[in-house]
Amino acid sequence: MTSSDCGSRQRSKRSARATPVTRLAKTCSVGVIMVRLSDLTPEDAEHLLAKDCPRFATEPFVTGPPLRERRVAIVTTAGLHLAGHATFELRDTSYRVIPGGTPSDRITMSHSSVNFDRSGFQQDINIVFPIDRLCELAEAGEIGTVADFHYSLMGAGWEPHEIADTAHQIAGLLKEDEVNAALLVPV
Amino acid sequence: MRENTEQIRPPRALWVPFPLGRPFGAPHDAAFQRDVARCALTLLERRDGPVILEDFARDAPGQDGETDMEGMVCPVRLPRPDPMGQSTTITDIKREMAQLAPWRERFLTANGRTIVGISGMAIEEAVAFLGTVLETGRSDPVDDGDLGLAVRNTTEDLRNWYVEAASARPGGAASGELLADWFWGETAAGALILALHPVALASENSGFRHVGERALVPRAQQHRLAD
Repeated sequence: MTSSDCGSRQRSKRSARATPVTRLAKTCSVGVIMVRLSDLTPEDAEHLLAKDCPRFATEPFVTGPPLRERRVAIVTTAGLHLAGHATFELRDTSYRVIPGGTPSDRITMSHSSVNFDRSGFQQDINIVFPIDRLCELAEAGEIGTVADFHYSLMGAGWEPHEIADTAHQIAGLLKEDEVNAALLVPV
Repeated sequence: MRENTEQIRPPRALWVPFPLGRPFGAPHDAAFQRDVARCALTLLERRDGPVILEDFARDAPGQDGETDMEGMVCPVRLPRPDPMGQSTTITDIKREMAQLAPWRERFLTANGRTIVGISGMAIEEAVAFLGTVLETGRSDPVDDGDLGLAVRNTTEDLRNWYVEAASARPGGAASGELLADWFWGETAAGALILALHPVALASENSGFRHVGERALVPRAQQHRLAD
């Protein structure tokens, strides 16, 4: 299956029913997080448990419209980008834009970490970038629309404050695309 | 990991019991992937915050990794080369790639896409480049400032090329762990990258040294490195 252009195709449907309320809705996010500790090697488990996970002063929990009215974008830390575009550097806080209609054979990965499995992504892009699944949920009316643009960055080795500027830039772009639901997909 | 997420306390998160690198579980299982997406997105409608951390109850299909890798194209464990033996290693890699080539063609036909190519080199060129780096610690066609990134990208291409080929064999859609054990433990290509590790660590080039320290051999495979 290839990634379709359902984001562009459905934009008119979304625009037709967009209201000032939905345009002003805060972007909510939900993350998909992986792996059993017991499934990791002792070295990987020790490395990940040693991460300095900050505690934030605020708890930015917001609500929004029903899922069937949401415009959803993917934000992944899988280090994806279009083939032929600049690869991610070894330490890199930049991001890449992935237009919703990009054929899957044009999307590649240059994440600098060697410690996660690529073989699933090699077989099926949806394993880390579930664009076809979002399109199906939109077609079924379970979500409103799929965003025109999605975003990829690389999460390896950064403390949260070091990548905050990139996150703010992506959040601004999501708002410009009238996105009110972000699906956060790490690897 | 769930343990990290419990500390960070994001507003909404779905924990899934899948391996690193596979947040939607199983390749080419649209129904299963859709269930994961639906389960995550449904959390957006929950109002019982400020922190919702939900568990996805099912393992991914095929996650037990029982696919048999016995009889792979290079079942004989190759001797680990030392830097002085690099020409033998390159010959072994060429032989392996000739044997794997039909399976990689099958992968390309079936999938219609590849992630090999981030180095910008043809795979044969990438192998030759890595052989030169192993022998000399550097490579003339690449500026010293770019050496680390070039080694990272060519090793990534080489590993991905092998895994694409192996996963196209009948019954070859094994777990990532099995494919990794095969690549690093059974192939001359894996042996080449392992042999590059001490060369990188001893290099005066900081970028190459950084790659050796962080981006050449996975932690789970570092037990294969010579003491």
